[in-house]
Amino acid sequence: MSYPRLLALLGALVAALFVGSLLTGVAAAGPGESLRALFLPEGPLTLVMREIRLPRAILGVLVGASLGLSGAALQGLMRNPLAEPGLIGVSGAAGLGAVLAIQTGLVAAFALALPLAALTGAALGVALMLGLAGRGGGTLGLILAGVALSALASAATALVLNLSPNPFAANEIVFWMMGSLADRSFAHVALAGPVMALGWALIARTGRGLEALTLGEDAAVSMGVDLGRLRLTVVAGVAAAVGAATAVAGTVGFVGLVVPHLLRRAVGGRPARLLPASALGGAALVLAADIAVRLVLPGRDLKLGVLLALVGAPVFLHLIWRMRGQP
Amino acid sequence: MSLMSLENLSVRRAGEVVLAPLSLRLEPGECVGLVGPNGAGKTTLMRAALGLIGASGTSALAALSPAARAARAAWLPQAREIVWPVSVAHLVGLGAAARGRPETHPSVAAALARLDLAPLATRQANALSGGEQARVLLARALAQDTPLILADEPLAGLDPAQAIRTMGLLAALAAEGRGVLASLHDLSLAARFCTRLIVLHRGRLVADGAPAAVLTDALLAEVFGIRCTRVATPEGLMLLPEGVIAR
Repeated sequence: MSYPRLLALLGALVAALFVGSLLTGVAAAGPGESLRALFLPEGPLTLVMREIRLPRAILGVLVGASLGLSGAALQGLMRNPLAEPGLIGVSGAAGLGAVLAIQTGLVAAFALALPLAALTGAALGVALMLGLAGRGGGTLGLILAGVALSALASAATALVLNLSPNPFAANEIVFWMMGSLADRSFAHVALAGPVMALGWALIARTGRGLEALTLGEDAAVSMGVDLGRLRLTVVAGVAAAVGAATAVAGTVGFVGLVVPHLLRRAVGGRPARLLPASALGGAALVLAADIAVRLVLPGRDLKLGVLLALVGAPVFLHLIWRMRGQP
Repeated sequence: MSLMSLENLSVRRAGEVVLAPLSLRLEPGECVGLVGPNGAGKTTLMRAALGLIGASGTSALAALSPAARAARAAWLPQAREIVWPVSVAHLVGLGAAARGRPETHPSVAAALARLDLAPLATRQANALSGGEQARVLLARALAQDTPLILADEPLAGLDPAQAIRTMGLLAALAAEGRGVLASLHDLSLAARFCTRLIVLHRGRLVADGAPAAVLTDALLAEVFGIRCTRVATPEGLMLLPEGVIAR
């Protein structure tokens, strides 16, 4: 399949799933009625569509695109198909920020306290990591610093849970960490959207450098790539995109690992082309999963991250099994 | 103007001298073989000249901006790394991309043709045999279309026919007015195809000149620790290593 056709196909898939997400929910209304309500001046269904389902679908696109794009960029930078956004520790740090906000009761103080705390955690985490493995650190240093940061964040999160005197807070923390797009508002879109857009803009500049890295770091540098700057741009872009995604949706794993892997052959292995394709693929996957959580167990609040891992992991294993033997 | 110019270039690693200060120039038309035993500093010399590792002294190439350097010199590392399942045509096209040129630039088609890669153009590069991958990566360096080419052990792992063809290509590139610097272990091929040999031993430049003048029995014994029989053939001097000299 040609590259423009692939992008058109993925774009159409995202559009269809976006509409599907808008039409999925507990309110019993036909598709036509629901979509019409979106454009009516007022009414109960209009309120549901505009204030509940529309932000949820938009966040599905934003979060999925951020995770897919970040996964593709990190795999390109690390030259490793096992790299995923969680690797640089930013989602763990964002999670710790959110957990502290829940534990201290800060969440009750104002509406966006939780995502803001998560964003702050992500920012502090990535600053710490770049301090540990800055420009001269090398890719291995970057991975190790990310692993260390993840371990530190999860240990601190476990400590908070361990010592939590409040079982409700502990419960809330565990559920938040499973990842979800339920009950989000346009305030979440407004908070996370610009930060994600900044991350996307940074990652969009890295295509040429990632292409050259196909030949290894030494060759890439000789081909005019400023490796230190490329590394910094990718890490900052991923930190912004994934930090914001985690802040509004909790921890959603799997997307950043699997989507670039699934689309790699379709783009002829080219790291620059994988970026937009993975953004669209990630958006499609998260939208589909978010539709599924509402259809599979309506009213039970099945968590997005749980379903993605539960369905995604066996599918991924099947694909690995089918691809075995191919270099 | 010299394609490569080093003044007192030296490299220390963890306090130890891995490359003692040396100065040299490389002119257009020269096919220079960089020879010496394992660990003599051949790779270090080339990487320092390109600015890929820190060094004392000056290298004109290392002082250039990344983009200007990519226009001046192409680098073929010894590790034949092809990470992603890209096509041969795209991989060779990366050489043109390093100059900000599109994959459709004539330099790409020329490089593919020169290494007989047209039939493999749509194949997946990392699924090819080792020898084919070596050709693809050399074509990538050619597609960068630079006046200078540095190659680290371009003959490693090649069968005899392809080793001869590769040396013939490097010599032809030099004859066309480019400069070539290649580290080599096959002294016979080095003597036969290079216009000049630079000998490194324990991080020091110990000889620099025409192959026949450089590869004396004394140098072979001192630097490489081998005895050789010399055979004059119509194609040039052949060196047959006979035995190791106990030291």
